[in-house]
Amino acid sequence: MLSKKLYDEKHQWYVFGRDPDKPDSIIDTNQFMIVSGDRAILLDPGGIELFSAMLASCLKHVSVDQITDLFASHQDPDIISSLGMWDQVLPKARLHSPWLWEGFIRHFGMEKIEYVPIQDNGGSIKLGDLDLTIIPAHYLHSSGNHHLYDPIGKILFSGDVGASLEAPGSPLFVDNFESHIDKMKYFHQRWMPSENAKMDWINRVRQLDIDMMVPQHGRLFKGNQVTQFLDWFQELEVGIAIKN
Amino acid sequence: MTALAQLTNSQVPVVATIAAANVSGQLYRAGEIAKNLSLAAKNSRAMVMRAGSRAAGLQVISDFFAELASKTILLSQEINLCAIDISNNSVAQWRTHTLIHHLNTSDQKSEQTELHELVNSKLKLSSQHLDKLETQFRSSIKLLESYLEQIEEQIRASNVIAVNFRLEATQTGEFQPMLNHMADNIDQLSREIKEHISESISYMKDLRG
Ligand SMILES: [Fe+2]
Ligand SMILES: [Fe+2]
Repeated sequence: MLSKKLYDEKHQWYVFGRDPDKPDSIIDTNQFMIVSGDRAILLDPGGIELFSAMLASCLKHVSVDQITDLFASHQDPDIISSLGMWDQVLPKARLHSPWLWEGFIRHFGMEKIEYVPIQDNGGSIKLGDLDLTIIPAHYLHSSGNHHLYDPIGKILFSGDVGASLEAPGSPLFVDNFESHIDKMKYFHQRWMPSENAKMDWINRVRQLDIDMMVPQHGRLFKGNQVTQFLDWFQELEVGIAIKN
Repeated sequence: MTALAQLTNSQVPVVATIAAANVSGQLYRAGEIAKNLSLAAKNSRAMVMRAGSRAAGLQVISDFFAELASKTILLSQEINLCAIDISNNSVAQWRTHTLIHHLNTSDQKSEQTELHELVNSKLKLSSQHLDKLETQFRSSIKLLESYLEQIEEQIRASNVIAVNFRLEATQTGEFQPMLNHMADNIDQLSREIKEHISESISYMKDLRG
């Protein structure tokens, strides 16, 4: 599993993904880890098939006791079906996830980890000295869904928004926005159901100062590409399955 | 009785999964440091060349460190692959244990002979699978141990060589302070590698059943 440091100041961001050992039939995912002082949080820790690679990748940079928090943007299996394993490895950790999904997510097996329900209007997660802002992103695509914003690093973790479906081994960052559109279009039109939800999110995100937008699938956006994405997404027709 | 044997069966893979991930994490760090060591060795070689005939004895030594670095990088990659195998294997064992546990529970709950037979045949298959996994697991552990031994041996030799390096450096006149500085740097890097290797070795007790 590829492991790369995205940001390195007082706290650090890592991305893990592009796992060459992943079975082809499983969608490729990006997992993120933020380290602040002696604590670390995993963002969308991933599916059960990736668990051992993911654990080994994390332990390249932190010890197992340092991982105190998990964040699951929504309930999908590619996000958090590894929970039953993390539950054994991190018995003292806390899982931050939408209140809406608690009864569902527990089906992945959770006995020891504490479920910290996120309210519909978001909130914040304190990780050592770092305050992370939870940005509501309901119905994009999941009906209870949040993103995570780091105001110091100016990084937005945008879950399934900004996702692209690509061949294995593709580069980590978007190089050319125009040519990247093809890889995102169908995903956003088919998975994202609501025009209102889309505009609510775009309006929230336009108010944030963002250097990097990092989705859970595919390539990451830097600098001006974030605005390019927001402009493109704003014009895009979503929820297309219903019109067929 | 080993620490592992005191645990219930289903906890074994959990402990082993963490241990394998830890070994791989430590070796990754050792490999990163070895990259710096490789650079330091190259720099010291350049310095030795500049010092000319007075530093002839040093050439062999800086070559040794360059080789140590490249061997460490190579071995750490091998070890990493091996640790990933162990990790995957222990997760597979873990899942099989969980399946066996659930099958046993459903067997206890059911009075139906049909289900009882089904559960029994699945249980048999699962425990055969578990046996196979355990055999693979043990051979991976052996391989990992031999890699760790190799790397440890090299590091041990480097301690002796570093002392010689300083001795030889005294012959090099104005180059001596710079060469000493390089020896310190190489020393420090080898020490850090050594720490990560010892740390890895300390996790091995969690892997040996
Ligand atoms: Fe999703
Ligand atoms: Fe997803």
